[in-house]
Amino acid sequence: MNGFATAVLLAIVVIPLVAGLAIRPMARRNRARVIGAIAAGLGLVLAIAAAWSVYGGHAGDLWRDRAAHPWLAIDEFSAALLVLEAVASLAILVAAPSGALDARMASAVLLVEATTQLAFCAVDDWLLVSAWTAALVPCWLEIRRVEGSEGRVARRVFALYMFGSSVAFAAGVVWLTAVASRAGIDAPMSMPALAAAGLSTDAALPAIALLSIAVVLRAGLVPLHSWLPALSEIVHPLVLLPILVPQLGAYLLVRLIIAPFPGALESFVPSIADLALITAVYGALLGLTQRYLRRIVACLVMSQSAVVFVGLECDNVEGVAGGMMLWLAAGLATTGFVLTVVAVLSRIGPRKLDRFTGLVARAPLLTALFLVLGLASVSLPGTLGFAGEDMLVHGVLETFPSAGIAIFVAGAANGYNVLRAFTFLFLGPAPSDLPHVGPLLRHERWVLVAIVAMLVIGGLAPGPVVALRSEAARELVQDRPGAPTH
Amino acid sequence: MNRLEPVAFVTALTFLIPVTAFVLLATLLLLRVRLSESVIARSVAVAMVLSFVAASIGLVAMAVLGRDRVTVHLGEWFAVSGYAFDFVLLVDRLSLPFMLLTTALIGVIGKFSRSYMHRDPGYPRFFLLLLLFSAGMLLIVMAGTIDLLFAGWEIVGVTSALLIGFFHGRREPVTNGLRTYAIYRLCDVGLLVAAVLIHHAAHTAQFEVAFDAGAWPGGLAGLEGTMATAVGLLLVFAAMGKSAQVPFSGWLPRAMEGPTPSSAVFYGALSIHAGAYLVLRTSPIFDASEIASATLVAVGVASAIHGTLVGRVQCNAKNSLAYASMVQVGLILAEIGLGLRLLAVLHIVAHASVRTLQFLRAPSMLHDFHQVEAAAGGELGETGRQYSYILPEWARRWLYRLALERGYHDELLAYAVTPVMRAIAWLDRAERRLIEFIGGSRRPPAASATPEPVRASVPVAEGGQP
Repeated sequence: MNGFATAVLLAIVVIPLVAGLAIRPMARRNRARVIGAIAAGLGLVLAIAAAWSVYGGHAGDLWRDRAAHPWLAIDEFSAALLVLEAVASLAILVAAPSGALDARMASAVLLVEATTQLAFCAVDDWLLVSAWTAALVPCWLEIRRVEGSEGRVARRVFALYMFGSSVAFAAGVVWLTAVASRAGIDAPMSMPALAAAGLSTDAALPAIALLSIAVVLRAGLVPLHSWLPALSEIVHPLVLLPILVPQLGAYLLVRLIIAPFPGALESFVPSIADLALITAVYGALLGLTQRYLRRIVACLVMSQSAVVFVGLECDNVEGVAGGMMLWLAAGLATTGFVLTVVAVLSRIGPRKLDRFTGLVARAPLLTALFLVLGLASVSLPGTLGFAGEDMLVHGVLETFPSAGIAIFVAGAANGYNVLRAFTFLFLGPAPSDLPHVGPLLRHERWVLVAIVAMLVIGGLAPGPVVALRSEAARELVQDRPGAPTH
Repeated sequence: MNRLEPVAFVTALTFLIPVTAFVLLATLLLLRVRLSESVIARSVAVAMVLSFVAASIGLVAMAVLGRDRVTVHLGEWFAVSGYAFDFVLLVDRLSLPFMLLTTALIGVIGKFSRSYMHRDPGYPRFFLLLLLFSAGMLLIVMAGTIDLLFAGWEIVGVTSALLIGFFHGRREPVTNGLRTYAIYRLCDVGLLVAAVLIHHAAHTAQFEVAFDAGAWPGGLAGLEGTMATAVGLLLVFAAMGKSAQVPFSGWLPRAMEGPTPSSAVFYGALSIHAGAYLVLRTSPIFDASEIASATLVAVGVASAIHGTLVGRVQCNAKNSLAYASMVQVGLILAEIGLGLRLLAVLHIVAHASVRTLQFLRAPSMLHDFHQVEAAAGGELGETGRQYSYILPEWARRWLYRLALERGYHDELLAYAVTPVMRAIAWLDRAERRLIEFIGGSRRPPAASATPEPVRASVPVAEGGQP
């Protein structure tokens, strides 16, 4: 069983990796897309199988059994993230417009999937930092295709912020390994071993600071967030989407900061939770001043992703479970929402939201899907995110009582931003120079409808997903000082 | 088996039937199944009739059984250790009149709209939104927890904005819908924070537990002093947005851009009373705080005066009716603040019924007048007297100008929001300069860096489609 589990995890990483490398030189984009979608589909099936074996208890404790799984393992926390990443990649490969998804772009999506899945399966922190960095390379290569001064800006910004986060992460890992070695831990690079060791926070404080910087940079938290709105304006949304959905910054926070050093973040002022709260509000308010669709979406993603961090830093199960739940819901809704944005942009080009476009008459289904996915991304009642946000807010109240107000302000502004984008894009009188807008193609339609179905069904009956996330949350919370026993 | 379970089941159907009808209709339309106007209208009518019957059976059964409230536990929506979101419906002396009113009026509106919306391209969309609104409104009035009430509150807000912008081919309806939604979202923060504080103080979201000791209109708030005042003021703030009370009343005339049936059901009958329902449901908090009660009375009276003043200078029927609604809702809030809760419920039911009729007859008002005049054999005499003559000329001119400008409330709100928007726009520009510095770009800041005037994204347009 152990060997089989490792083989499944290996396949989840290798299949998209091989397919991504294989389709990269292909001249025929349709063939590349089909092969890519098949590989992503296989990856999804395997990810679901792996998650099922973990949640069903069939695989045993993969994460902590270092003897049997020295390199790759998952637990209740990461199993769901594997599925999220696989769903997002498959959705992009199937639903993205042909004009935006050539063989290189499809390859980039698969390579990001492979490296992200490797990060989620990595047992050792050096493997995590390698996968974390490798996940950036395909995006970097895509950004290099942007020509002119804008391309130069994009490359420099991406390199400074994203590869800067990798440098901070690597430095933090080196320091952490040194601390763990001095403490006599057998496997100083193993994340389960670090979590179980109970290392002194004081000794590891510089390492935690470096890792926190990496988290803030990668997650786009204030004050190191400027890369996200800026790049969203220059590079295609499909380039950024694969690195935004999995939220590897949040993953690092859980694995290498919260799990091994519960309560360590309180040593920092401001803490990551403080920065996340500021980001949630600032991102939402920043969205109010934007006139370009892409920047509005970037501000929305920035704000909603930050709320996840607030939940993860709670010291109670409902807050952490809410954060983990919102992580999944926001990832899924963001994927669908950005795909509808891409569908719009591919039909009408870049759009400034100061005059009406009136697309509803020509694309009614796209209109409905944009609205539902947009509202789902701000946790409308009846969608999956609502349950996550509700739990998160209740948990946050126990830890940071005043933070609830900030989350509500952010939610109110984000909701307005979604409706503003919807109104100017789809409603109002259509301009005379509006190009022909075709209806949604079959592959676009089914993917977007499937995502809506997942969000709505998950929202109407969120119990099973909540149960899965609460188990992971309970494990994360139980080691924290002063954590409630319930 | 509990004796009350069948009653609970039947009353729960009042909410579940419209929800089911909405889900079915939405699924069919999403799958692009072509449905005739007749099928759509009949399905809505059947859903609302069944829902009304369920509410009526609930009323009779509770009367026969001598129950003053029925708590319907539909289970936990979701639960995590130490916390559960209970799906609890509360049917009592407060919710029952609203359940009957909601189902009856939406049924009537559905019947009226069958002809009124005939051959409109948005026919299915209108009925779909009507069903969604009915589900949201019933959730508000039947919610047993403040969390559930908020879920209904949000659904009603989104539906309202979409129906105001129903005639999306024109600029004004959609901008007005957006503007309305902005006010809703702003005031929703009050409800959310109040919900959070109630949780924090009473350790529960259930009204029955938080306001212990007796069925409505009894009950004792588990909050005291400053906390009760804070929660009460936040609830008033939330109610001001949804019920178009000053200074958040500017959206009301703009909301008249929607189809007349939806104007009737939203701003004449149901949605506009949602704020009043909220403060009625949480009335024990107002018992515990004189400041909150006094604020509620002050807001209500100010809105009534504002509404009657501004309503007199409106030049179309729907706007006049909208301001008349504002006046009545203001009075209702004042009644609630003064502790006259049963009177407030009676006032709401009567006002909603009359105003719905007036809205529905508004498009044919001239025709009605002609008929009445023909029957009377001549022009009708003046009805009522204007007492403005008792004021000096300068005061009349000043009030007239104030009424024409609707009390300058929109300008006041814009004045409050503008500094925040300017600060954010300044930060946005600073960020762009940082990015240009990093990228070594010398191009001028992008056009989108220009600070956007607060109202540019929501162009002001007057409402009033008769």
